[in-house]
Amino acid sequence: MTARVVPRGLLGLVVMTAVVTIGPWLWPANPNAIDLTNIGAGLSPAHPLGTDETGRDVLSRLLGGGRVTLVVALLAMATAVTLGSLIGGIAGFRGGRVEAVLMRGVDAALAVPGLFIAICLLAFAGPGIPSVVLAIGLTTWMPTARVVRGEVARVRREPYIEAASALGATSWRILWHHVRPQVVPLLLVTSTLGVATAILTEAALSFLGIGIQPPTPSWGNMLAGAQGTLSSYPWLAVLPGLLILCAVASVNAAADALRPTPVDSSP
Amino acid sequence: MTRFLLSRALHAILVLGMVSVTTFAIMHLAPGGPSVLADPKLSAAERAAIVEQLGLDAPLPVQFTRWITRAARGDLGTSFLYAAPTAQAIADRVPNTLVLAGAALLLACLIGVPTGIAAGAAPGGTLDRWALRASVAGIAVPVFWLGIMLILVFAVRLQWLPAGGITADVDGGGLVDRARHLILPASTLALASASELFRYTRAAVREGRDANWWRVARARGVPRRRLLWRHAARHALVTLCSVLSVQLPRLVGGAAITETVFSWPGMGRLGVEAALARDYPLVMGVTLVVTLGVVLAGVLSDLGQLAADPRLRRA
Repeated sequence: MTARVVPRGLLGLVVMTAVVTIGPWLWPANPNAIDLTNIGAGLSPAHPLGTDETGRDVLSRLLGGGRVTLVVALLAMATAVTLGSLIGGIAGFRGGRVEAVLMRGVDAALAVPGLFIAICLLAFAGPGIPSVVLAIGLTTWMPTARVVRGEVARVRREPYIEAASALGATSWRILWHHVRPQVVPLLLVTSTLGVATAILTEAALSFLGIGIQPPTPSWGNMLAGAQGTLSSYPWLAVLPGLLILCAVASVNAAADALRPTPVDSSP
Repeated sequence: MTRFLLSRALHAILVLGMVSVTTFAIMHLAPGGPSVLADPKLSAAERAAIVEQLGLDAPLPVQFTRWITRAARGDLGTSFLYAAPTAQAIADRVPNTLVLAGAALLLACLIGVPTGIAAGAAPGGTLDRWALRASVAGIAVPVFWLGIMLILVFAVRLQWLPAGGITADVDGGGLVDRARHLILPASTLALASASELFRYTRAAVREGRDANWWRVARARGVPRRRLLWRHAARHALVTLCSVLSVQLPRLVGGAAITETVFSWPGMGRLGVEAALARDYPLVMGVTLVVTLGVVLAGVLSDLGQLAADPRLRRA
């Protein structure tokens, strides 16, 4: 693969974000307006992508759902990355026993299927966007912790860190001014991959009926709704799934493009 | 070797302990309580009686000690949801999940690894480009959506395969029938793993092509085919062992979703049901069994790496 000026994945992501952001201006129909006389309608000028199982406009729900899905994914990723870098950073910087304990904790967290824990966590704050964000963030921070720990442990042994500490810099100063800039490139990659994980997890939780609650649309719960009427309106299940696929694929491609090492040598 | 196994066993116990404490805390501290208590028809006295009978009135540390001492003796308590021993409820479901996950893993290896080797051998070729595109989609596709789409196409439209369940018969059914029921869920679960295995195999083979051993073997006249399927494949095997052990917990999570889509009576679905109903003993039991499986798989993967790469044995 040759390097492009603008990687295709990033382009897809930007276009997708832009479209769902200006969605209400592009297509001002109310995503929650129920029209029971017009259920499962096909394509028409009034409803360019038809209507769903309760007669709501599919296009406006896809736009609104995309906004919810992307915002949830971004916030969940931010939670996961903050937690992961904190734990990984402390483990890598302190080393020794602290590192051993923290990294065993990461192992333990990785050994449990996150889905079960996310379900239990969702019981805490009840359904709603903040609890979904928290549930995803608290169950997907482990890869970041591993990556950050590895990087910090490597950087910590560099001579310039020794020099800084010999000059009397505090641990926090060293971490912030000398270690952080070294970790950021890889952190960017894991964060991007984290968005992909978060989108898929949100979809799975919403599919099980415990994620984003209707009538608020998200691509995940649109699919869950469509599954109930699969025999009568099968096409309703196609578009949200395809959009999730495209979003995750472009996020992954963007992460590949951001990777410091060439794309070809990394899996 | 003994030292290695001992340290792994210690590590396993540590992980199991951390997982049980955390899961227990999350479960019990969350507001709401088990769904058996949510029945509005219960009077306060009846509710108190149930709480006492289930042992939920004791302080949490006491409850945890009680649970873990019993669990150490193999008694996982009684499920609220099924009113049956938890261990039995899990044991009934484990074989189904093992069949599903095993079939998916086998399928993933059979598809992912050979494609990865062939693609890595000819970077930029037709196969490489198309397989890479397919793997990008395979990693990005939501498991349940893939399941729904497969049902739509193969069960609803074409009517080639059944849409769900493990047999058409209530009492068993033949091997062919079971295999037919397995195809769609196993493919659904396998796609993401296959894509990931493909990418790692491809990367390992390409990395091998730049290594000195590759050039030496070529110079000695080792046929290209043998070089690829023996030398490069073995080189990839080390990475694959560790990738597989990382994939396992995700496979169980994916299995929970796949089992829900295909009404497959497996352990993943049991865990989701238990978590939704706040069936404490069942959630703890499922989590414990899954964690044990993951930890064991980790040990197996380490041993596999040692078997695949003699250089690791010396370290």
